[in-house]
Amino acid sequence: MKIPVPKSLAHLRTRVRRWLKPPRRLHFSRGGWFFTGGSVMLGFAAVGTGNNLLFLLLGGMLGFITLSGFLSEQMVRNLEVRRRVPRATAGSPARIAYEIRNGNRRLSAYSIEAGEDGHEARGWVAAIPPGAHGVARAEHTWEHRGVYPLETIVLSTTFPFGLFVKERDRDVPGEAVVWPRADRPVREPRPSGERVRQAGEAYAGSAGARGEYRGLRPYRPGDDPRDVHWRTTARVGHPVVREYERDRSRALWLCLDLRAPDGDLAEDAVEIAAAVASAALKRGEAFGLATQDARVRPAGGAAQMERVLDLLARARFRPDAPWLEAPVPPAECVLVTAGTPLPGWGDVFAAVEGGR
Amino acid sequence: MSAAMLHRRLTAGMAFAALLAYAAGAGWSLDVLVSALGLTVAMVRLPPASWGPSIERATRIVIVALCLWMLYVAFVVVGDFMPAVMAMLLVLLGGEALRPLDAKNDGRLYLLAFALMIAATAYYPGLAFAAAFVAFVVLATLAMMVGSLRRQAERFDAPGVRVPRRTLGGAAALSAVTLLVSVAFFVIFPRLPRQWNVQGRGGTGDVMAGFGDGVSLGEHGGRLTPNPEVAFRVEFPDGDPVYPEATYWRGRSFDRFDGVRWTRTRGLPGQIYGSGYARRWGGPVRRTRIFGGPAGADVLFGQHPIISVEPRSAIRVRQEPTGDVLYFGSDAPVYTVTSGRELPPERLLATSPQDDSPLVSAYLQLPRLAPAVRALADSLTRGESSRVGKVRVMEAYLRTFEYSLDLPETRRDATIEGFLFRRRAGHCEYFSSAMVVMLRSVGIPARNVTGFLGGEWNDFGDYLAVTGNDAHSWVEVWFPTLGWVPFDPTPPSREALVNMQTGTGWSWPARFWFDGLEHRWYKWVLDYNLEKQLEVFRGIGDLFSRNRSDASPWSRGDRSGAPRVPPLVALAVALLVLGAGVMWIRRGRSGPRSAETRSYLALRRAYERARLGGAAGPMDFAERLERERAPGAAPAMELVRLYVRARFGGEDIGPAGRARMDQVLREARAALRAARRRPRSNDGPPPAGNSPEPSTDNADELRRRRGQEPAGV
Repeated sequence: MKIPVPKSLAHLRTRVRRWLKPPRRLHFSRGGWFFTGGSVMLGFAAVGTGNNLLFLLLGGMLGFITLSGFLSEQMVRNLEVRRRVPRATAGSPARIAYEIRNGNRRLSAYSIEAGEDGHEARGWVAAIPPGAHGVARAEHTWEHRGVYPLETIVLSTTFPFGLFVKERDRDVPGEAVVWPRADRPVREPRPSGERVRQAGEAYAGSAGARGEYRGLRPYRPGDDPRDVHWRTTARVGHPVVREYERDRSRALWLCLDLRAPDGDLAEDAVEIAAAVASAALKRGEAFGLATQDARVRPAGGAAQMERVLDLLARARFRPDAPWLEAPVPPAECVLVTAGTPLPGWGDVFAAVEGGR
Repeated sequence: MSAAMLHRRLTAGMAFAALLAYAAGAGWSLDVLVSALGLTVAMVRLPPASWGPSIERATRIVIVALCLWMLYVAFVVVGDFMPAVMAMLLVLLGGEALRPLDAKNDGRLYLLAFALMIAATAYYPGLAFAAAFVAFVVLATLAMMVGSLRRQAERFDAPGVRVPRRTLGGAAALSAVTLLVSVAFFVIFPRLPRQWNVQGRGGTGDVMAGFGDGVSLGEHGGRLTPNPEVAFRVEFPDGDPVYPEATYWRGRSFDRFDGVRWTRTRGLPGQIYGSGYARRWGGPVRRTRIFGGPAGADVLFGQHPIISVEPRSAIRVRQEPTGDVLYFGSDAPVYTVTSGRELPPERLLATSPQDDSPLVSAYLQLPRLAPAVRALADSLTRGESSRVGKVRVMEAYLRTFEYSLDLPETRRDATIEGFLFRRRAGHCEYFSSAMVVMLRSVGIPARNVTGFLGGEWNDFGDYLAVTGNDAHSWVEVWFPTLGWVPFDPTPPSREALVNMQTGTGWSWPARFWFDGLEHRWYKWVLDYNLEKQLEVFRGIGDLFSRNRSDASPWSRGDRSGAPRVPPLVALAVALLVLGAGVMWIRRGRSGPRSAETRSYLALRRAYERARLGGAAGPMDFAERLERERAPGAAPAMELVRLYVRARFGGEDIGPAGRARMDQVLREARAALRAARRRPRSNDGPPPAGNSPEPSTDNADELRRRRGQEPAGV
């Protein structure tokens, strides 16, 4: 019969277990294996010969191991870490920045590595003075677009001698949003779906390109260099661009149909949509995106592209998705689909045709 | 200074410390000097990298030459080839230090320096080893630390990393921890009884004259040179003697004299020795503990009569019928000598009979001598009837001669006749030889004995240091019921002369201090054994006992009994320390990773070793294996799928799932091993079973699974 354990006792047991098994680990490095193996062999030699100086040498080697254990523990003990995840593009390297704070008041933290648990990529910072911050940047490459959950950051060090790797886990929930590739060659949308008049959708006040002048704002990657306001840029010291009210008469509605099985075709469809949006951005046009799950209202500029790519990164294909509803009459939209294209759309990019 | 350059300098410094430790025992030979030159250049100014190939070529040529030498010595001469091996090691060390700044070269330097350090321990080095060891530990701490930072910087492509001076200072201070652990381990690690192991002892040095198979008188011209080198050190466990400088340390006895040279006759029949003296002479016994011995001598020393010798290091002792005590073994001799009273009672000497056994007839042998010698002996002993009376009168006569360290100027003067009738001056060999010859000429068995007289008392350690200057020679006379009784015809002026001679070496006050340290080094480090360990433990146990007043761990009381059981407090402390250690180890070794994560990481490590890692996410990794048709891709995919379900899907896969993960992990590893054994050809078909071509179904499954890794919106 199982005896029920009182809650307080269970709590105590949990705490004791946690104390006995703290979130840190110890691994041997290659040099560590050699060093430890050498120590064992030296121990046999010392016992076998009774040569006291060999005992002294063996003691020295154990001293190195002890010092290594003590120092490495001090290195990773009081570290706090925050993660800054950039928007990544599938197949391209992205550097996650780990901002590490050394909470130790006396000792600097040396040779600290940071990375995601279960991932190979690691960033490294040589030294973090007591109470200061250091940044380690790890280069990750995701092959596919999507939203990758990030949970545990592994902080580790091989300091001081490189014999052992001491690791400590920090639970820092987060996610990495990986955009689809947008460099796939695609044709321009056909005239019927290329530039459509706004019908019913309210987008007054949204930022766009080459509309009525609205004001100035800091430059963002992807902005048209022709919009740089040089006089203000010279005054404030960083690039500033003119911002215009969007040209309401020229907006491209992209509709991505998620009603399809997940797979390579679906990924192709996402990449086609990203490439069409990217081409629109380059042409300085406003564009929007609609799926079964969410919509991005038409606008232009780099920020709009980010919004579209974010939505594409999160797009989830499933065969049981509801039918796609166009935000404007379908004849004024461009449909991107991984399945069989339906009639009635202004233009259709089918994944099976590779976006041609 | 770049981290790489700093690393090289520190590594070369560490190797130099190892070289000093080696030279402390083996001496400064040519190969040591060559290695020292290479290391010094590496520390001061490393040659340009363009010189690297030339240096490497030159080193290889020398190594090959040394290798040939080694083979020649080993197989043609059939001699000791270790010098060639050591020369190779030393040349390699010097050559490696001069190679370009590459972390691999520094790694090799670590290995060579450590090997040299191990080799140094075989030479029974003196106190200089201790200093070199401390330097080695400090420099090794710094070198390994800088090396670790440097390798990490190179791995993460951060060449501009510098190591601040303050960090180096802190690390050097932390090396004290290593030294402390080293000493603690040295003291605590249980030693085996000394019969269980045989310690090697190298180092030869010059053989000290007088303790080999013969002693010669024939030298002439010049003067005896002083030799302040310590021959051995003596402790007195039963209490300090009143005048230790007057103690005779008997070594060898010689029975045959050809007029110039004393030799020993092998296989002389048994006489009185060992416990026979204690029975005949009576009186209390004296114990002395002796550390070391003169270089090259296989004889042990002690106060006459030696009753027993108890070895305290890995040597074997044999007492010959002549009473000489010899030892075998390569260890440094450390032993306790039990001796009887200094001289037999006077009444026993006076009443001793004079009818000698034929067994001692060998001690009546005489060389061809001038008749005047016998005439002199007869004239001196004419009025004495007892044997002791005759001996005493000859002893007194010779003591009227002059003691001199000046050697005779001519060969003619370097004889017994020259000493007795012309020079009437000489060193102790002349006095003892003349007395033996005269005694034998009147029918009294006598022999010449070599050993040491006195020594320098060192208050810094309470021991007697016996040096080469104290070497002495005297006479033993046979008394049928008492055995061999010592007499010394050398005049007392010898003592003043020896003191003056030794004084020049020992007058430097630090010399006493240094010798005290060296004595402790030999006693507590090189000759540390089970007995001393028990002594230390007893001392520590006494610290916890209530009666601390008599609890000095190094008091010289008799502690030969069984070790006391440590008190409960000490036991409790030991248990606490042990428990804390176990917990500490458990803390270090445990981790929060789930079984699923561990299996997944093990899989990744297996493929990284096969150079098949690199992908970021788990599914990326598994798909990449499938794309590249890696061995074991199918089980790897299954494992990853289970991992993703458990890790990101929040699903409990249960014990069956975990067991399945372990199984597919084994399968993947087996596939990798099989692939390693049978390399895949580029144009042949892929290996069957492990990495099948994904079928349409598999591709669908792949696409289906892909969606499980990233969480959709």
